[in-house]
Amino acid sequence: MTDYPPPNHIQPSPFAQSPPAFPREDHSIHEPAMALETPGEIDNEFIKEKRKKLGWFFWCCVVWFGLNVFVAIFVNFLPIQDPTLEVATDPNLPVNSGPTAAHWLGTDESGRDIFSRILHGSRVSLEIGFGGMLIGFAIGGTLGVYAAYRRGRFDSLLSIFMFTILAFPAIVFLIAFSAVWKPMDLNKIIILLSVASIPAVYRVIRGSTLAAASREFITAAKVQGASDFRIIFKEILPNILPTAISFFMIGVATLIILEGGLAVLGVSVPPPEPSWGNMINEGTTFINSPNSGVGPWLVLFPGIAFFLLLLSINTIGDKLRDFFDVTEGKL
Amino acid sequence: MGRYLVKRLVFLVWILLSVMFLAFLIIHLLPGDPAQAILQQGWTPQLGAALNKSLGLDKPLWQQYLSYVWNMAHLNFGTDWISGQPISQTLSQCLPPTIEMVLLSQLLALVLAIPLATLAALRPSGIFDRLANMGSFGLLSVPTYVVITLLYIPISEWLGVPNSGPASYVPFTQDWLANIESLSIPIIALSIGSFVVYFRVFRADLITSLQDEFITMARSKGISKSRILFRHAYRPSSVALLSAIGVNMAGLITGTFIAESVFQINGVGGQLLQATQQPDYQLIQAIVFVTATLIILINFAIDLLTGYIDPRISRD
Amino acid sequence: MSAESVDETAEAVSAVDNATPSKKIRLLPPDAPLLSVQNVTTSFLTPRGVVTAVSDVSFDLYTNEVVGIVGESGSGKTVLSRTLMGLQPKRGVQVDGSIQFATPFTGTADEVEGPMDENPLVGFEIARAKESELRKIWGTDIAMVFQDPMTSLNPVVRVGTQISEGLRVRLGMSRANAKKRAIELLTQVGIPSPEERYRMFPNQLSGGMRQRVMIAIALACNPRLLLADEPTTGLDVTIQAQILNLLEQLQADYKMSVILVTHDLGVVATRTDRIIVMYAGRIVEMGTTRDVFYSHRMPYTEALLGSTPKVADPSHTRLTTIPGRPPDILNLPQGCSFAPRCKYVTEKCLSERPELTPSEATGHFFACWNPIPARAVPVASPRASANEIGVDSDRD
Repeated sequence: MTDYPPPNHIQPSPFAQSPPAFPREDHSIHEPAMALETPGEIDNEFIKEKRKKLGWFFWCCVVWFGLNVFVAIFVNFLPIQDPTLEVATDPNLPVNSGPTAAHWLGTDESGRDIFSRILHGSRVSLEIGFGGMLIGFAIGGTLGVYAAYRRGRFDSLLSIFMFTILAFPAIVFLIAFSAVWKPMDLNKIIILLSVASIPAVYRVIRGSTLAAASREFITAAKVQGASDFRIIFKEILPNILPTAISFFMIGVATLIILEGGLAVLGVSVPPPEPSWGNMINEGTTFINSPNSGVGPWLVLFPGIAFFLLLLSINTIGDKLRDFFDVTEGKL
Repeated sequence: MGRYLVKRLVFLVWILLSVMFLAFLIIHLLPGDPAQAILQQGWTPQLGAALNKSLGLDKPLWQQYLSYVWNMAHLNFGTDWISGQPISQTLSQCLPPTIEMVLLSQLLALVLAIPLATLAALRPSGIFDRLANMGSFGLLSVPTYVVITLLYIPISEWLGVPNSGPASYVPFTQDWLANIESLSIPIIALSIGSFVVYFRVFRADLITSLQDEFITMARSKGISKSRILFRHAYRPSSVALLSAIGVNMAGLITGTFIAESVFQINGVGGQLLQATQQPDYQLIQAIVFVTATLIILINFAIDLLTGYIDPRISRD
Repeated sequence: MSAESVDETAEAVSAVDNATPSKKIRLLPPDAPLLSVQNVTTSFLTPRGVVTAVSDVSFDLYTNEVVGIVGESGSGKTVLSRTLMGLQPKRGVQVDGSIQFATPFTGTADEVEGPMDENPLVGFEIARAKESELRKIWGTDIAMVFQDPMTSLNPVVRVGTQISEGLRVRLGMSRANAKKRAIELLTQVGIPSPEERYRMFPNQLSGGMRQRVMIAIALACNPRLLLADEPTTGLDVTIQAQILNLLEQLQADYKMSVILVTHDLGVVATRTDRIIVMYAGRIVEMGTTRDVFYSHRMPYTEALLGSTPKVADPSHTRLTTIPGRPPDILNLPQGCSFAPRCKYVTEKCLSERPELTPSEATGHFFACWNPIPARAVPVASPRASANEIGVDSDRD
């Protein structure tokens, strides 16, 4: 049954919604190798491991990511405008204004402050990204480790089931579910997205557990009479941790992008709840009704917020994977 | 290859049956009464029951399921309960723009990704490679919907490409140039998203392939660089690229749906969203089934192709 | 030898490179060796500095001769074989010295300096040649059998295509002729039902079969020099013997020169004319197979021979091991590289490196301050037999 998934060289991203996949080990950063010219067997032994560094860019990303988390947690205590305050309740508010001193990033059609809405929106993105992935890992990861360790019928049946779900185009089903499961709210979205992420998490974790469990030291531990519990927690988990961490980060980024997509389609958390996807959805008015006065900044600013958050998450995942990957440093 | 083919076929049939089942479930097991949705304000218990009877919704679930499977297998989607239009007609109107966007954007992405990835892989860590690698990593973090929306400004407003604005879709049969123009923004935006993925996958795999011992062996035969590249390195690397196309397909569909929604193109996504507003259960069911089937068939074709290219996959 | 003088030597022997209309080409003497290696040094430019994997290697190889290069892993023998082939990457790797390969001269008499004899030969400078020039001799003049047929055959290209590719591209054969010749080659390397195997992929063949295919690929264009880099390392002992016998037979059939690189003295014992022993990137002993086996002067060679099991030994004979570890190539000792492990070590060995010095027998060289005394070598056929020497090689 192990041969059901398509033979990917790339890490699958949760239910196949890009962003991808970091492909087969990417040596380019470390090595002086050249095209069409293979270094001989022996120089691998000579070129000793370069000391691994996370680099300044990684720490910039950590800081930006931490800032987002901070804002998401404490946004209600920050001295910023109420994100739902609109011109209907306060006629003094400017409508569709560009960036001003009072409204740093301008206001939208209803006079709501874009800066405040972006700060509040980071909460939705992070809650969905991390909430969805935590549930996905709690279920998919546990099942994956257990199935790969136990093997047998349980593994076969569960794998068929998971790979079946994995073959479904998730977006179509998400939209369809949103139609019948009204009204949508944040919790429902998190549940839907985490369910959609379970098979992908299962597949990745099961795969790396299988690889780890077939190694000699696991057999050695078994022969020495170590308990299953001990083998799983002391021997297998440390080995799959690098893969798990980087896949978790990729998954978070993927869910954030996907939620934004659903919001742009208008089937995610309903407005007026501020989310970046909703803001972009409202911003698309600048295309559809040019006379509405909505400027492209309503798309641009949440777009930049998306970009910076996703870039920091992707970078953290990518660099951590390189950092933990023992095989990569060899060359 | 024979056994591999049979295995993939069995899995294909199984997946299609599962898709049918799930599409059926969406309507019948989740809260909400179709009759209520159809009649909306005019709903009374008596009218609802009568409607359910005429639609066959009063029969036992297993009977409904069997007739549903029978109809779907014959691609007989029936008549829309709400608009009275045959669903197959609705589908034949909304499928072409979506399929066109998918095909053209993939073509554009591959035409750009393969040569650029080759160029980067030929000199790994060279200037071009570093720039392209950094650029593509950055682009990974730009959601397609942001690109779709913002591309409107340079293409429609600055360049003034005709028909590129919202609600200006022209069918291909009517005027091919206007048709391409009307889909230009979605196609370019979608191809950027796919390009980034394909570039990264193909570049990384090509670098690995070019370091394989069999490349040194091929060199030692004295054959030309281009032959080594095309005959010996492209083949194994194209497997990874094909897998990436398959994996990317679902994300691409999300992108086309968003493009349709932003530019008011009557494609599959637009139709599906409209149907969820009603909600038009029958149309939702048909669209879910058709879209899922198309994606699954594409992935099936990719599986067969990878099995053909790499005998290690098809023989086990 | 300083780097400068290496360059001068290289320029003097490199004739093809300097072939400009104003300067006449200097032909090689008719008795010139097929391959003349002079002071070859291969260094890798790594993030941690320059690492020299092969230092100052010089030897000649004559037509129809089989030379074994023996050494532990890390002794630089694989790097040397790739350097000789010109396969080392150009970036990140520096090759100094001269590797002159004798190729037939095809030009006219007035391009030549001095008189032109019947089969004029001209030196092709492998160490300086560009990849585009090397391509002209790869396959057709000099070919290589790689170490691991599992990784050196392209897994997604059919076996037949990999053999006929060289024939079609290099010799311009038609598709049908190339196929015919490829099947003939498969038969020659002892593959049963070759037509069927022609269409198979490498992973459908056994390890021994794959190595036979590798050999067929190397032989396809009839090379004059075959470099076999550990051709039997990954194979079962019985298969090893088959492959070695095949190589030996093909060497005679094709009248090739062969360089057999191995860590296994048993492999080279019966099948080579001469042996080169390498240690830490340098030649430490070189001579005819008989001289090296019977009258080795270098303690390392003695230790290497001592650690090889022999059939004649009584049961439970303890194998001699070489104490210590192979040297760290990044951090070589100042004197003789083998000194830290040598039982004859003296003060001088630790401070001064011995150069290769001639022994009594012709063509026998060693690098040692305290050589083992020379012994009488029994007279026998040119290629010593396993039983005489007492090394357990193959059993066929």
